[in-house]
Amino acid sequence: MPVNQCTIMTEGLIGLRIGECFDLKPLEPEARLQAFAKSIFMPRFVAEKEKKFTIMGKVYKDKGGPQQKKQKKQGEDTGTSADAETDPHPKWALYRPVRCANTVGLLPDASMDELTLRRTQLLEALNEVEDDLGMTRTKPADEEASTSNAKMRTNEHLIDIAGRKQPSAEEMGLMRATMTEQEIVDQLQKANENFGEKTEYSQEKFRREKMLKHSRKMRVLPTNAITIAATLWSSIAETGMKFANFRARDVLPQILAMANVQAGSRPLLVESTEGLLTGAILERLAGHGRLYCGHFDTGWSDLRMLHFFNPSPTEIATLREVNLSEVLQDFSGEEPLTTLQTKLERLYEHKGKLEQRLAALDDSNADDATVSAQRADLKKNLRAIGFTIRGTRNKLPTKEADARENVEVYSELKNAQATSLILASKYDIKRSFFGLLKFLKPGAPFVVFSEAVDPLVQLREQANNKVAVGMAIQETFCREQQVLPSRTHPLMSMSGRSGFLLSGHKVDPDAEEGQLVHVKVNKLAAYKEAVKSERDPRAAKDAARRATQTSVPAEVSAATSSSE
Amino acid sequence: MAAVEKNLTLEAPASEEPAHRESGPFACDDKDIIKDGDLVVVFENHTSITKVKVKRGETFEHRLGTFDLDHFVGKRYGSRVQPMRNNMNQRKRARTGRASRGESGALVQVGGYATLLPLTPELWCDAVSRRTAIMFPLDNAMVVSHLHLKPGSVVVESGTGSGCLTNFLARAVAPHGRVHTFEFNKARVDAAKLDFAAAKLDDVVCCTHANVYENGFGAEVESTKADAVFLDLPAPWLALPHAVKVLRPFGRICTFSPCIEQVQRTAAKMAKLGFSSIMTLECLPREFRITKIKTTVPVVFQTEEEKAIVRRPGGSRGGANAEADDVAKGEADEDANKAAAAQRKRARPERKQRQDMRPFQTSSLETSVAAVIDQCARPMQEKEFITADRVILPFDRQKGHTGYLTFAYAPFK
Repeated sequence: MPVNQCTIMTEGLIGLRIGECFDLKPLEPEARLQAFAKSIFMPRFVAEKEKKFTIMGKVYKDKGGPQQKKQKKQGEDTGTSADAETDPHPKWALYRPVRCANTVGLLPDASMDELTLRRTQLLEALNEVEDDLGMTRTKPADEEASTSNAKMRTNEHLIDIAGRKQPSAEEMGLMRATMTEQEIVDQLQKANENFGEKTEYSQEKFRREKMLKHSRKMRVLPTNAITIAATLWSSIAETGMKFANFRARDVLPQILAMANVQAGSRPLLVESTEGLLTGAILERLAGHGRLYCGHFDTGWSDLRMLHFFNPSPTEIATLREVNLSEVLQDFSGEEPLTTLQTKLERLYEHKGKLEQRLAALDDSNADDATVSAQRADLKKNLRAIGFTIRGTRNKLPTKEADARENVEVYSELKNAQATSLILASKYDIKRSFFGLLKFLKPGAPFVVFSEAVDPLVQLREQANNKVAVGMAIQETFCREQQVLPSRTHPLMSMSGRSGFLLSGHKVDPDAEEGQLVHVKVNKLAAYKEAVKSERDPRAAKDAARRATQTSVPAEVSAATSSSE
Repeated sequence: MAAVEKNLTLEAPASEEPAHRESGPFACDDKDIIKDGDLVVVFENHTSITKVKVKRGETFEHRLGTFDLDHFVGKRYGSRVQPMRNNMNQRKRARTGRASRGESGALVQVGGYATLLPLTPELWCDAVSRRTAIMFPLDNAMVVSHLHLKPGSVVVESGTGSGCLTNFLARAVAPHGRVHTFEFNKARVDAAKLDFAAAKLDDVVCCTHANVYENGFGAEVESTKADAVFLDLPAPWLALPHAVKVLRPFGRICTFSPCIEQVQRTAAKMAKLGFSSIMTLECLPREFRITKIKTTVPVVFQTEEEKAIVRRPGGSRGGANAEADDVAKGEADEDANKAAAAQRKRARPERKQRQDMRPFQTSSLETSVAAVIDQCARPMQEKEFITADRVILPFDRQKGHTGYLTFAYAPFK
């Protein structure tokens, strides 16, 4: 795989703990090919560009197929081996991710990297100087520490040589195979004619970048929404967004927070982030509550990234994939549950027929080829409905499981209602919002994500304060800072497109509409009534009667009649 | 606001034994109907958000008027309430010092309403009485996610401050996790404890009065180890050695500092202590509003319809027919430019100009002639067509800076 032209044998990662370092072993091209053919490592998310420090892969778990013998060992990086063994839903455990991030520039191992050492020394020097000054004084960072001992160089004499000699790919390959990253960078530095003319800072930057590029020190990171997203996004540069134009670093935390996602909550989610949001929410539910992951029409929720999260069976048990089209059909119909129920009944009926025919075939005791073919056919059909696959959801959820779950979800949504609504999908935002709002508990929060502001504006214009309160449209500015002595500044490039979030709280639609006084019209009248009733008990009765007919609230009439 | 605090302080902390919960303290799953003793948010608008403990027989003074808390009980969350106000005016009531009920005048419902919402950490940030500068929701959300918190995590926070972040942390780690929060100001500790008790966070949050610089996080927490540490202190670098002691290997740490000099020193100390993947972020929300603005269409770019609306004085279409047209169009014009007119109405200082901009209407020959003469005397720019377009604008005042968040992994031993 093309990260620094090295291939990771993920078998080598087995037994590593989170946070542990390991070396990338450069492999011969042939071995690399072999490894690739074995699908030990899938370089799916690694871009072709070389300036990547983070990689992500997955190790196959045995899935009962022909690959089982080849791949008996499993990579474990989160210590959830017990989960893997007892996992009754192999569907979700097909792959176990092993995540590796190269954090060489920051690793505390001084022997590994002179730059780290240098950086640490500089920072320490700064710290000591400042410690002497005491914490109350705010003297700016002492520049002497970093510049006084070196002659100040500028780029005055720097000549940009277009055709300067670069090591060829073969030479680089040889260097990688034989040298340490330290030696490689030394060589590159020598090859760079301009190096001596660079400023001290840019010399250091040159070495730092080359070191990152050629280093083979890797570190295992824990898998969670943030690290997974960071890994995926770092491979398309920080500024890029791949999945549904969804910037996970700052938008994902906000969605989780605004939607009040926590253990015990029951969010209703419609997403097009390929499972990233689903995984993130399952992580926060941790097996308590429910996640209704909705999709429309005949489509399936695309949850391909879910397996990176290593979800445990209890976490998966909280997930309900739900066909919202069917649920909505039944919800609006006069006969509740007709679509879903009949679907299930029809399936049972169909199953009964198939079983009868199978039994008839068994009774006939015929043994020729056609009969056995028929029998196989029937069994296949039965299996397709899902009655013979007991307790497992080997591939997709079966038709039966699907129908049953939808019935269950229907009643859950109808009775208990979702505790938050999260929309981050390709579907029409306004219509899906107003269509799904009925599943949301009154007073509960909702979050709608859109990469463009316009759909949210349309939605906001239509959602008045009888629908929701506290609505706000916002985007996020999120900038990373380079923190080095005398060189602290924001990074030169940043993502300028966070997408937009609309959040708010649902208002109870059954709120006593008539009981609210529309002041401009009724304030005076109500006041007069009240004063009048105080003087004249008969008028009070009239007022009370009128109050029930008009929009004068019950409280007022109660107050007036009690004050007699 | 004062009344809110009063209600909170009256409530004895942890009146009932915290039951073993399988859901977070802010989970809304059992929150349908407001019950006696619930902490609810009274949401009027973005600038008026208060929280109140519902107690039978008590009232709640609000900007809008007096709420009778009896009325809250049994209402559904998300429903709207209107306050009662004595018909005696406020000043008089203050002077006589009499209770608002049972007065000479009956209580009447008054204008304006508020919505009752369940308490969430976000609303808490708006409703809390600020004892210190608070952490804002975006930063809080970032901290929770980037500290890799999930239910069951143990997290250490210092200092507690107004407790805004504590709520976010508690929500993320509940039900089985723990938030150990430290604060060196005794008054703030007491106030925070009351707040947490009112929100029923007792079984998740443990608030301690301690000076972290000097004494660290205590032997108990150090022995159990924490998954994450958050430091919001003037000098986080002084607390870092203690954080190392309390963190599990490769745990997460985050420091929040408003000044970059603090960040530099913190990062330096982190590098020295062996923290890795040090990353400093700055996050700001940018809020938008929907509004309408005036747009001027120069004469040359006007369509025929627009020209018809803003008729040119002595123009090519002069004559009696055009005059009749104008009379007929008068109403339609008004509709078309209604929004623009509303906009103009707000722009008080330009009153004179505002009148001039209105497409002139003629109801009688006299006025029309006068208007034509008037129109002719005006400079060209006043014949421009004004439209009112819906636009999305950022708010004028936005947060320019809150602080830098510095994240890192603890040393892997």
